[in-house]
Amino acid sequence: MTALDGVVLFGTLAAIIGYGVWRTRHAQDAAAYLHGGYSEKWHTIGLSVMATQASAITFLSTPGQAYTDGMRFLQFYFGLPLAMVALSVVFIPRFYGLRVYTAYELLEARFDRKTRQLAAFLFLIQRGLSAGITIYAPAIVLSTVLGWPLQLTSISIGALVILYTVAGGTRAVSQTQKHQMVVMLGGMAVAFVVVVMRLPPELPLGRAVRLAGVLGKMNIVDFSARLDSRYTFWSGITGGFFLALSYFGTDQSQVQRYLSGRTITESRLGLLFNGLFKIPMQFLILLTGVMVFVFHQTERPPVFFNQPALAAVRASPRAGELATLETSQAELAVRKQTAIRAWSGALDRHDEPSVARGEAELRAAEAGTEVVRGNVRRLVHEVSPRAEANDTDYVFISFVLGHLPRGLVGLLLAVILCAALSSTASELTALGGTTVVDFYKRSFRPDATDAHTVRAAKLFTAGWGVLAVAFAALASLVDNLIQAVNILGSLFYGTILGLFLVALFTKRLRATPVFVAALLSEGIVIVAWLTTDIGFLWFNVIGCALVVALSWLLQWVWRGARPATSV
Amino acid sequence: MGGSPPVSPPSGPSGGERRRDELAAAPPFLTWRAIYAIVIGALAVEVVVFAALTAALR
Repeated sequence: MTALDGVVLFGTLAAIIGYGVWRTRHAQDAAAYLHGGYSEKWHTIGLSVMATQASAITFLSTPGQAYTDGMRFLQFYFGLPLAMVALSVVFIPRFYGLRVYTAYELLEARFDRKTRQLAAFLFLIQRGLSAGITIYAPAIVLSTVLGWPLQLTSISIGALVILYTVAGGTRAVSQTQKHQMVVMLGGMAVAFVVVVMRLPPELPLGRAVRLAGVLGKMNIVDFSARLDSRYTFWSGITGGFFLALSYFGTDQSQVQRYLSGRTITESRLGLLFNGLFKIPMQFLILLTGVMVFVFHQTERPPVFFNQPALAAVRASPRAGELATLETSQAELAVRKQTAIRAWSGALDRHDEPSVARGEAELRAAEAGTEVVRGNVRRLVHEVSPRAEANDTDYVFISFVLGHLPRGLVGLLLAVILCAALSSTASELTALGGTTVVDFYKRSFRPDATDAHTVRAAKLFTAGWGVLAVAFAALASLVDNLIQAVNILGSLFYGTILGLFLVALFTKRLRATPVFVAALLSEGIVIVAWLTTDIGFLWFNVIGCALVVALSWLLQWVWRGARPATSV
Repeated sequence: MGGSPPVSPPSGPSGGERRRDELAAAPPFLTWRAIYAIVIGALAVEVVVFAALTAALR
């Protein structure tokens, strides 16, 4: 990293965080601290909701996922716009009607305290663990770029986010997220333009996309109905819908974003803004990864993108095997480059038979490259069983560091750090707020003053920040970070969503059958995840359906049904 | 609600009447139905375009 990159990186971060802290420098009461004083406009809410979801993992893992697996991950977001509409119609009016501070208060209004606290507890577990991964992802990047120790980097990022989150509360988070999101979108657009400009003249954008298609990377939509496939249209539109409904409707890190709206209209428009722009944003990020893939068809990529892991193999007695694999990969790279030139020339001449031959040759060379990469992964794993055998998270950052001009490297690092700070900040304020509102104030200090509540919220927020940094130390054991976060969410969200759906749409169900059904459902989901190959998105549907079905079944078995108080 | 509110609700001149007004408030542009139709319509267009791209670039 050059001095110019350092100025861009630290200047951007200091300006955004300084502005956020300055805007929220005055003392705040509990309403202002926990919900920003209900003052945000729809565009701030929309950007804040997007910034909360777009973590550093989004910008590190997603392009790498497109590089290795193509565009099909986009289907994961197909259910999101539908969920935004459902939330605007059903959830937001109910939250506003009750004037809740956390989503889980609604469950006590409908059922009882234990059901509310069960949902809040499940949220705290999964979000607390996710916060650790959210901090770990950029820590890898900075530790690689700056040569800092990984743990020290995690602690530094954690300390920075704790500082401005604890100081300014929800308002500071919203104000910083608005600017962080602008930097993120601008930075990714610049990265896309740069990678396209780095392609050779025989591969303009249109032809580059066609080449990506030939090599199986433009697999955006898959209408097959296979349950074992993680990303299909059907899993995206159903599982993705349930996941988005759970995440945006029942995860306090998102609920607090849109409940900070000046009016219900601002909250609804903020969510719908997200529904409209999320898919195009993810498309851009994935396409950037695909373009990095195309770039590396014309310029030989590293045989494995995680360089420290590769260095460990080179230093081991099995370095000879690696050298053989690298030679094979180099030969395949030359074969591909020759084939691309021939294929491109055939396209210019409209020589269809030669085009078909070129495509067959490219596919064969790519299949050979995949075999080599698989062997390298296996070798890395055998030499260093604790090293990441999946280099997906290193693909994009390797391109940024190796091929972007001075200054832009700093901008892209700022994108990654802004994303890390924005999503972690939302998580910490939500974790702290939920702990105070749903547990501390509800069960231990119901008579706490406003000032005491604010102090407690700050303390719990800082405490969760420290825990998140501790969890970050364990995140290196996880292969693909974005999938790890999504899998973690899918294991808990279905149950939480089921609780909200029976609260919102049934009148006869009573608290105890619902509470027991939620416990059983969570157990079944975890056992199914451990013992079956079901794609993780389906657990959102399964968990939710189990809660609904078991609630009715248990109530019928116990034959204690009588009308419950409706909300 | 089962539990007491954890902190004081936001102050305002209005109370229940304002809350009802808020819940029924129209958007500043178009209507809610039109806005929902735009969001869902955009998704439909995206799926069709992406499916066409997938088929064309296979």
